[in-house]
Amino acid sequence: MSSIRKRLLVLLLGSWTTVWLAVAVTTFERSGHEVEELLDAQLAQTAQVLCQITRAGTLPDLEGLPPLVPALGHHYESKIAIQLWRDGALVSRFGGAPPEPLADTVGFSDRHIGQTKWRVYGLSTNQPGVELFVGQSDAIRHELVRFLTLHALQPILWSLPLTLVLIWLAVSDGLRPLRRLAGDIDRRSAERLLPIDESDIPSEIQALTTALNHLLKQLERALSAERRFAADASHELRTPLAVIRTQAQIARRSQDPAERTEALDALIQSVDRAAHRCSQLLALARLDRQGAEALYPAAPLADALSQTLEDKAALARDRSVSIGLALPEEALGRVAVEPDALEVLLSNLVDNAIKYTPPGGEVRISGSHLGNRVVLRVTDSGPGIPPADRDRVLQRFYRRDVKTAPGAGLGLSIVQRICELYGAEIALLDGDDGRGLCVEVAFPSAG
Amino acid sequence: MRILIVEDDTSLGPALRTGLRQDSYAADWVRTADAAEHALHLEQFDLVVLDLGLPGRDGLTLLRDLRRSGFAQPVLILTARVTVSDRVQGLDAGADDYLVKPFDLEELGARIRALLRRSQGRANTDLRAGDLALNPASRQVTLGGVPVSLPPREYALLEALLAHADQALPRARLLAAAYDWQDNVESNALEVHIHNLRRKLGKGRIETVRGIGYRLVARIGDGASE
Repeated sequence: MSSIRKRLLVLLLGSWTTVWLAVAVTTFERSGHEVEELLDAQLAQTAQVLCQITRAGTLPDLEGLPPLVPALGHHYESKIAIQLWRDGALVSRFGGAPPEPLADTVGFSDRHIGQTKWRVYGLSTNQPGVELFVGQSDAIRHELVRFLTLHALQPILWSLPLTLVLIWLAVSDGLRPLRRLAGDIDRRSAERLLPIDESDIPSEIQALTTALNHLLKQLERALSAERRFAADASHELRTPLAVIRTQAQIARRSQDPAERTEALDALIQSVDRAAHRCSQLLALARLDRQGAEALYPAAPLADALSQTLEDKAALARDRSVSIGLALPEEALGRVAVEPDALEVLLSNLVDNAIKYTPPGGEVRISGSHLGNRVVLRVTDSGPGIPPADRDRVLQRFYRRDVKTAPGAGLGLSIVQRICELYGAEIALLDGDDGRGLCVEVAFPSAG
Repeated sequence: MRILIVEDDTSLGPALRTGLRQDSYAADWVRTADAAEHALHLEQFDLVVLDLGLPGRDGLTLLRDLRRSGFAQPVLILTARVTVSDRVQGLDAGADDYLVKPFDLEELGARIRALLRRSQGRANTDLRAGDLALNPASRQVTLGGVPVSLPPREYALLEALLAHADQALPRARLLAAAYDWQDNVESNALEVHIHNLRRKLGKGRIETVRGIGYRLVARIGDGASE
């Protein structure tokens, strides 16, 4: 699993260590060079001082004599060897200088004599033929350089672990808002989908929180719709169940055979009605849950319609309602609605129309093809719906105050939901001659 | 006893009416609040069974309107609304009892009997007048401990008379208790039933109150001396 903390730590520590190494190496080199310069200056200075002292062109030869002062005065003080030559002869030497000449030129030079490498400064005095060489062993010089530079590097060395700890703490602190957000989200549940408080959120995760809150709001809405639907559904099934139970009890305790038969017939009818309502509720729930599939086969309107008419023939016959069709060929093409949904839609439309049409009346189904739409109209000669109520009848469980209103008020809301899902348009209009209701659905044509 | 059923469902309404008739009640069914108000205006009902989810004016509103206008008879709410707050609302609106669908017909009967008992101000489950007793639960009538068999109409009339013992009951009130709107009432039906009741219960038990109707006498001896 990738981790922001790990990534930040690796990046910060990696780049800081690289910078640190570069600084250390540069410091090491530069301070080494400066110490070398300082030592060179010391050689030159010593040569100058001796030169002034040896105006006479001579110095005592101290080689082999015991030292005058017992120890060195400073621990950085290094041994300096001195040679004084006159006309090619070594007049004086001390400080462990070899008998061979330390250099063959004036100025600075390096020379190997035996095992020792020497750094030398040569100086010609104002007397002709007199030369002074001041030299220093290279090994001693190097030891000094190393000692001094390492001392200079020490604070930088200590800063490494200290900085690592500080970076670690800073990263942890910087990630705290994320941890707090995680805790906030963790405390949410299906029952508690409050939006996350955005007041104290760093700008970097503001977008994340906003998106989350948007999602939470959608979830809350979906869940409460689900709950409301469950409550509505249970409410809608209670009355049919009450009818079934009552009829069964009437049949059981009835003494009169005719009354018992009547109750049993009513009971069977009630079971059918309850089953119909169940399937309507399930259709609605299914539509709510899945929504429209992105890809679905375009359904031929003709097939779905003939299936529906076949299914509803018995109901129409029972109620002495005739069904008139006025459908030109071009209105029966394919529409961009999933076949099952199309059948549910048509079934509800025709069912409603038949139920609201008085006995002997007619339900008319007509259609036309307008541009890229297939328009279907189902018209009944029932009581109709006043324009003021038309919006409301598309809502779930809404029933109007009509003497002959059967059903649970779900039919049109199912039709409405399917239209919504598949981009069809539904309109409730006056029936023929201002009587009855005409439901017009404009389907998107699928060629 | 006469019961009004206010229920918009076209299957449950008739089923309830049939069920209550089996219990020897005279029951009428209306589908809307307006029809219910009209019916209560026209007829003396002893109890109302009220659905809440009515089209148009809703059951709770009807109940509040009725109580405000002084309607005092018991009202039993019979509804699909199940939550506690629904029940509280219903009872606070003036209902005497609350039953949730789907319900048991026997339980509905028992609750109706309890409501009627309370509205008549009696603690005893039996309606009594001297040695005459009527048990509404078993619909059994006994005279001096001996069961008396009565057809539904005579039973309904006797129940009404017993509930108002020693009071003169108008003819219309008696007819309302035994016949609902669907029944065809012969012009002399009441006299025939009263005659039969007198024959089965003893002559002095039911007195004719001239110009008004009938009265059931609780103690035959006292009644005769008045």
